[in-house]
Amino acid sequence: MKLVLSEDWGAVVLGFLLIALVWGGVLSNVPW
Amino acid sequence: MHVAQQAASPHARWATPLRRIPGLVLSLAIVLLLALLANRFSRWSPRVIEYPLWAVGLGLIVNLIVTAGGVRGQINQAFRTELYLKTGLVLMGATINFRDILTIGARGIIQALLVVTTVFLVTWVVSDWLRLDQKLKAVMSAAVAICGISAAIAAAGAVLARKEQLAYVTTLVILFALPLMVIQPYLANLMGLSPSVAGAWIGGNIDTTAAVVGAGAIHSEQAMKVASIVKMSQNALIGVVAFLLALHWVVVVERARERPRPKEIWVRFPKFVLGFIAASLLVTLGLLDPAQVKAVTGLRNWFLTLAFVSIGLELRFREVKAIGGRPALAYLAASVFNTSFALGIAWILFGR
Repeated sequence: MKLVLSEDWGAVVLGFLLIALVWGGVLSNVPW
Repeated sequence: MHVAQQAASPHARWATPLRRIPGLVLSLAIVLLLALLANRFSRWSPRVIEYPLWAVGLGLIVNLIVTAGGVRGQINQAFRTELYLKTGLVLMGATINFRDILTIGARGIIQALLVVTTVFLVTWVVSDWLRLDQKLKAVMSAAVAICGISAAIAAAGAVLARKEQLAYVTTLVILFALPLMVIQPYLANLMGLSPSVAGAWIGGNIDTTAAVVGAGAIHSEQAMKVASIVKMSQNALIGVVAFLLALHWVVVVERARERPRPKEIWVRFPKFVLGFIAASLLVTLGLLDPAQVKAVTGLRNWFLTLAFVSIGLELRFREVKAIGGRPALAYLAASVFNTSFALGIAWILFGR
């Protein structure tokens, strides 16, 4: 269970880090 | 003697993590390469084969190869469906206006309450008819009714199920979810369902969240968003169901004096849903401009592809062989009921 919880918060931290990088202009173009 | 020597050595503490690094690097390389291939193949192939299908298919092929080669255990550290999926869903929050989350989510919660309660009880009764073990019945009912793997883990914790029973159910979840991920979007198109109804149907029926997002993506962007929000409304109920199950277990089955604490509801709550909502709020307040939202959408698609690749990579073939007929039959019966019931509810709630 501990693993599941840390995965949840890990996803939130990683997601917001990526959003911050986009917002700060570090990641401005992500081709898909 | 050998163990004691190892524990005393100052190098021993680092030996195990260091030994895992090559496996981690290799498994990460496999996941990234397969995601890249899935992206490329989906561009070159006919429109009907969308990227989630390529990703799961490539994952399954490589899984077969590394399992046959006997090296799967050494190179599976980066096969992390849940982590990639949840990160992808937090990023998806930044591509959806908060007002949409409120309107879809309000209906999603009503749908979740109706579907979860009814499907849970039907699976419970079907499992009784087929004389399944009490603990297996509880884990399976939670898995079919709520959200597959995470619900199965929560329910297994609540009723203290055996490890094999949990492995059994999680394998069934993936075995049923993969064909549904392919079939349901096409059925929705055949029936002429609107993207919202299709998304709500997919979100209310397919058990594992990764396959829900995959099926939604195969149908359309709007169906993917509705399916994800509906599924997350369902996921949010995990804690409540785990708490009630634990209560039923100690009061009715074990007749024990101890009671589970209501705090369990928060402990089991899927926290990434909060990240999804917060990301949507940021974008609704105008933090990101349209070009930045496009970049976040690209990142979201990459993370979802990593999750789809990992579904294929994480399927355990040995456990598939071990599944007996009666649990599979119970799961099939419950899934057929879930599919038709969720279609009716989705059509009523999202049809206009």
